[in-house]
Amino acid sequence: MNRVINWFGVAAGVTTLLVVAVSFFVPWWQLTVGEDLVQVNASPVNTNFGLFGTPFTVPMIWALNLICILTLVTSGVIMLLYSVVPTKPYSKELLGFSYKKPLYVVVAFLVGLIAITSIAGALGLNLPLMGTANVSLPTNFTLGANISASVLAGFLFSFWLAIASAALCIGARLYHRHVVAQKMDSVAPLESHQNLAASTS
Amino acid sequence: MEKVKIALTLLTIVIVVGPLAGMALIYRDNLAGLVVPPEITNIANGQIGNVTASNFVSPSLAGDPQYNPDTGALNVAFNFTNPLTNQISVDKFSADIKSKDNNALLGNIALSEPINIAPGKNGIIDVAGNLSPELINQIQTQYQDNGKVDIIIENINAEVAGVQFHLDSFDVGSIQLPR
Repeated sequence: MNRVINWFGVAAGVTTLLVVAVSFFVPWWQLTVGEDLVQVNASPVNTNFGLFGTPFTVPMIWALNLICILTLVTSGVIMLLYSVVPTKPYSKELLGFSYKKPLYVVVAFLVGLIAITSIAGALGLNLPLMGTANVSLPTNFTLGANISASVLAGFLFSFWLAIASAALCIGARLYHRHVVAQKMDSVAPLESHQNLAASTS
Repeated sequence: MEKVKIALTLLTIVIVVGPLAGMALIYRDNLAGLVVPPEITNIANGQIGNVTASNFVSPSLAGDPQYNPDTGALNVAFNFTNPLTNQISVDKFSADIKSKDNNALLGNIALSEPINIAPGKNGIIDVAGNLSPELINQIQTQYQDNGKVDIIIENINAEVAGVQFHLDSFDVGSIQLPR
């Protein structure tokens, strides 16, 4: 008997775990001021800052990163578990738990990023979300001197990998209907054959 | 099925509450430290990494300016110590030189070539330009005749480590110009 597997789920689970592994080394979004004078490496997995060559992180952000790591890892593992047993009675619970998490993480990250750059803009620092810009410091911070710096910001490939992971998770949810229908089709002829055998005996 | 649902809900709660509770426990005596790390506090106190505000020393003249009265060429060298933990580059520097006495534009100076200064090391920033010999002679005759000309540097534009600075003016006092 052919085993039914949700291949979208397998791809989604593997990609989700890959996102976690890659994001430890490559941030989702990076902002650099001048020649690495200020650096922001942001991702839900590992967010850190660099100021004049001194790296640091914020404990609360570190805790939020840990929540995201655990969420994505459990989501990936449970998605893989679901994918190999997609027709068990508890499978829909496993799928329901795991398919939304990467999407939630991506959306929360984007909302947070847009909110932070908007707040910075309201304070007079027009930070770009993507691309380069020349950002001027408000003169009340600079004792009358005009100081501006070239700022480079952009999304790195780990971010696009996270979007792919979220898309695959949604794909797994949509493909689940097909998997269930496939299982029903394979069970129905067997049941009718058993019924026929019972009726003829 | 119900057990799976309960287990997954409990897992979600543990994943969310665990790290937050753990961090709150670690920082229970200093809850502000949760959002304000020591590095930010140090910056507020004028210290960046191992660098304090007092480590920043303004560029100083390295020797006397070299002025050639025949050609009007002026070379000025500044000493600058990089107090940071990363290398910085001085890519651009340009300024107008004006007489303090009559505000006449004497000439311009600019960085000869970009330089890199290693962390904690001293670098010599060479700036060169041309001053008008006629104006220098006129000022010395009209205002002072002691071989000195009081100058101010105006319209200063510099690019250091990718950051552009603009200062309207900077009083550097007298520069002794050989005749």
